Amino acid sequence: MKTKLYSIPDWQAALRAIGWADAPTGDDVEKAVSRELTRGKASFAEQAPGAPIEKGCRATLRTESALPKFNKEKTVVTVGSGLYDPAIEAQLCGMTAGGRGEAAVKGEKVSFTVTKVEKKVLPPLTDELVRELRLEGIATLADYRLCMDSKLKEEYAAELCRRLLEELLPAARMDPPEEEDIRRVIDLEYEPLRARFSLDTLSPEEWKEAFENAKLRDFYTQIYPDIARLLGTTGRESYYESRRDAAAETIRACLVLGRILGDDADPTEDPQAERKLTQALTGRLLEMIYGG
Amino acid sequence: MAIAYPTTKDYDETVAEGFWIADFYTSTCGPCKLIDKILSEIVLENPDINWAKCNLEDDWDMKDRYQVLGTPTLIFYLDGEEKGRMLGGFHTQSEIMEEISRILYGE
Repeated sequence: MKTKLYSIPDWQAALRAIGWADAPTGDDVEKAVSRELTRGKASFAEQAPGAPIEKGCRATLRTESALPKFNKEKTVVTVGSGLYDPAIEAQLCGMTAGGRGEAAVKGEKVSFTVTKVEKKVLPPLTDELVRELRLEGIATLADYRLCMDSKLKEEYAAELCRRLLEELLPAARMDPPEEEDIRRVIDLEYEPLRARFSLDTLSPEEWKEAFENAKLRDFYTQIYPDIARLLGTTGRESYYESRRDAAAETIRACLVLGRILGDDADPTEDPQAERKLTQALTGRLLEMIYGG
Repeated sequence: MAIAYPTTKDYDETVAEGFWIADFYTSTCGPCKLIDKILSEIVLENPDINWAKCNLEDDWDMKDRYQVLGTPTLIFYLDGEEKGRMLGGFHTQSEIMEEISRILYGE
């Protein structure tokens, strides 16, 4: 790689300044475990008399209004679900059975009475719930807790790594990425796409039609981020132009990450260099935060 | 609320009571993964919504029997009666929730 890095700020000082007081705790792990294991398993039970409605409770309402949707003897609403009228759902929080309320919907008055309140009940966490997920090598609640613990910590460390890089990059002393390096980085990411979609055989019109669909952007971004890079481009040169900034950023990130880690992984040689360096720093941060 | 994995044998029985979303998918269908993510969130917040996950690779007969023209297809049932369909994976969470709301509470 021709681009030169001269110095970076003290990365450990930058990391301490960012801090990691918000690192996931045992409570966070427990909440995540409960959320995943009880999905699709909740039931409802009668709420204690006088207990207020909270988000997640099921309230049965009697409604009166000129609007047919809100003029019913019985309507069952899961409070906070966002499926009923938002103003009424918001008002229900804190009310109790027998309570009455009013709201304006589409300019019409809606009166409602809470006739019944049930609370959401989650089943106890068991090994059986874990086995229902059919995860390879994870058969018990203890296994699943351990797995979730690692997942949350790794996600946190990856985010910390991103924030650290965000701090260091503007203060790093380096040459602007060389044109030759930028082209080489783009070549490496372009080549598999060229082969996969036979890009060389596409006319400019075919290319445009295939990759300009804005509606596909979210889908590809979430599922196939490599294909997402082709969206909105109209040919090879247009692709290069659209990827220039990202390639320059990859070069800069690799130089900084490499300096921290003492690793000379080169994005002009290895298209996975940035990912590997990020993973390596994430691992290092995990050791620093959680001690091995 | 429940998450079920019906086949043609027990499909009708599965969706017979309450509100069900039958989600027809295949494991190789990218858009199906987006819909799966959205439904995971919806059922988490709405215990009255049941989710029937129908993997067509496990039972291709379901495709013809329920006139599934492509994946993903969502079929909404209220007490066993089909109330609506959504085809394709480019629906947002709010579009799906609007459809559920329309079926549960009316226009």
